[in-house]
Amino acid sequence: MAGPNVIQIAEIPEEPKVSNDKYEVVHQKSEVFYPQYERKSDLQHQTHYCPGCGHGVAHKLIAEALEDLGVQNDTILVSPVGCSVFAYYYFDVGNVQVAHGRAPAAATGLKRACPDKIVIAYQGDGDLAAIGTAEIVHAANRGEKNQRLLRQQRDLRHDWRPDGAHDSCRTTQHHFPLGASPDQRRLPPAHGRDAVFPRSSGLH
Amino acid sequence: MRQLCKGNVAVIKGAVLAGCRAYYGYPITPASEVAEAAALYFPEVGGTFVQAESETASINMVYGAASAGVRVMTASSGPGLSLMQEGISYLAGAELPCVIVDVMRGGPGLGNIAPEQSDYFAMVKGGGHGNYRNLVVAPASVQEMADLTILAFELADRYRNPAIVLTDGFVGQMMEPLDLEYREILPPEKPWAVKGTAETRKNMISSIFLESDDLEEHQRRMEAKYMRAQQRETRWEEYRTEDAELIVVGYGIVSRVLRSAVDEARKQGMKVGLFRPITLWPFPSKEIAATALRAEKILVVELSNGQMVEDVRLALNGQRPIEFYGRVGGNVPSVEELLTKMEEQMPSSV
Repeated sequence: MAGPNVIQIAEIPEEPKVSNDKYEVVHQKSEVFYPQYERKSDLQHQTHYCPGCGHGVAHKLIAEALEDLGVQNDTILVSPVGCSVFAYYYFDVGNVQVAHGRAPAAATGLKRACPDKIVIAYQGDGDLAAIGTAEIVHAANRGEKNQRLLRQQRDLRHDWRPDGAHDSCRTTQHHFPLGASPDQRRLPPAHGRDAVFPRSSGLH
Repeated sequence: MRQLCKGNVAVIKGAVLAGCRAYYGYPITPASEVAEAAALYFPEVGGTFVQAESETASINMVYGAASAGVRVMTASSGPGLSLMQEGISYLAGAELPCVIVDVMRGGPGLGNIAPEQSDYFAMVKGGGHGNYRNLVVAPASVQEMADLTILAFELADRYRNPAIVLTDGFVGQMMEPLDLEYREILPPEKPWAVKGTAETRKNMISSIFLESDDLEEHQRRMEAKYMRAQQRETRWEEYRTEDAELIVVGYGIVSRVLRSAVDEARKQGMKVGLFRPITLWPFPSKEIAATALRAEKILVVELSNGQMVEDVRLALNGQRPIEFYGRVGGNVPSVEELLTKMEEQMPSSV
């Protein structure tokens, strides 16, 4: 019997390996992802997202769903602006990259041109809920058919209380040294002062 | 078939004949009848009409439809076109063909709803960010509103670039006979489009090139196609220019008034001829220079504070004196008014 400090590890079945000249990919990956990310200029075995970022998980879930449904050939992915502007590095589907906040509008044009296809507009919170609020509200209001819209909040890994679009540590570091909101600046909210600080993504 | 038709409606009749089946727009005077006609005719031919929540949204819907390879259009007037400039830059950067109609009204700001030609800089010289060009055609009649819209679709697809139909509230609102030849124009195959099919799965529409060398290469390629357009696509019309001492230059509704004024001037013994650019980009620089160099003086007339006249000056490069006469605010000069200006500028009268 093992002592309390010994951790027993279950035997892990060997996973299929994809090899290329430089890298060996050992984890299992949906076939909807490219085997190598050749659209990136380097480090083609890994994503460009920071460790802990939610995009990796969101990408994985979408790719697995598309694979399960067998709709890889029928899918058009609309990339937003922000880190996931490069979603087309990874997804082996038809890709369209659009302007900041306008994914629901572009997806409307795509979906109505290809009514029997799957059109996914992938947006971060700033893209969808700040600069693109009008587009998402009106796409919903029109009842655009079969259009998948995903909200991906950027600050999942932070313990700050989510305070609307764009509260992330990057915002604090790169644009607003004092913080983007009164909470972050450790100042009491003062009447009229909230509006002084524009909220903007740190990685445009 | 010969019919009485409004300029703005003729745009849509031309678009339907050109195989356009998608319209995304937002109404604005004096361009609203374009959207109205689209709402009427597009569903009849199995097409799509959507009234967007804004011009910002409509140009991005155009972006999406163009990405899927369909012939698509929108229309607006100055304030709406200002909102669309971001989208036009993205369309040009992603090399997406589409047709955008600008029925110009008075500006700046809210201005008024009367005709001006004050969007020339915004449409011909750019307006959105970055190095790109719009292909711009300038109808001067209801017939041309249909014909040049068809041409705009052809040019847009030929060069994978937005094409602008730049006209004024006068041409958009007036009614004239329109002759339409009912022939089916099949849009070209677009193997680059993203259609949600196995064949197009590897395709990508984007205007982002992070590496400096990649973006430079992309822009060099765009420059090369713009150069090809400049060599091949200039269109213009000359009227009584053979022996003219004074060449008057105007487009859109101004060219119509100038034409009548040229006839009157000729009756009075003044040797005046009209040069009318039909494409504003590419601008018929060589052609206007060749014509103007046979004359002694140039008079440019616009419903603006002097915008196209800059291209005439570049074309002539100081080789002939160039005068400008402009009316703004929605005022359109009369034949008599232009005749007086011609008399003042006649070389023999100086």
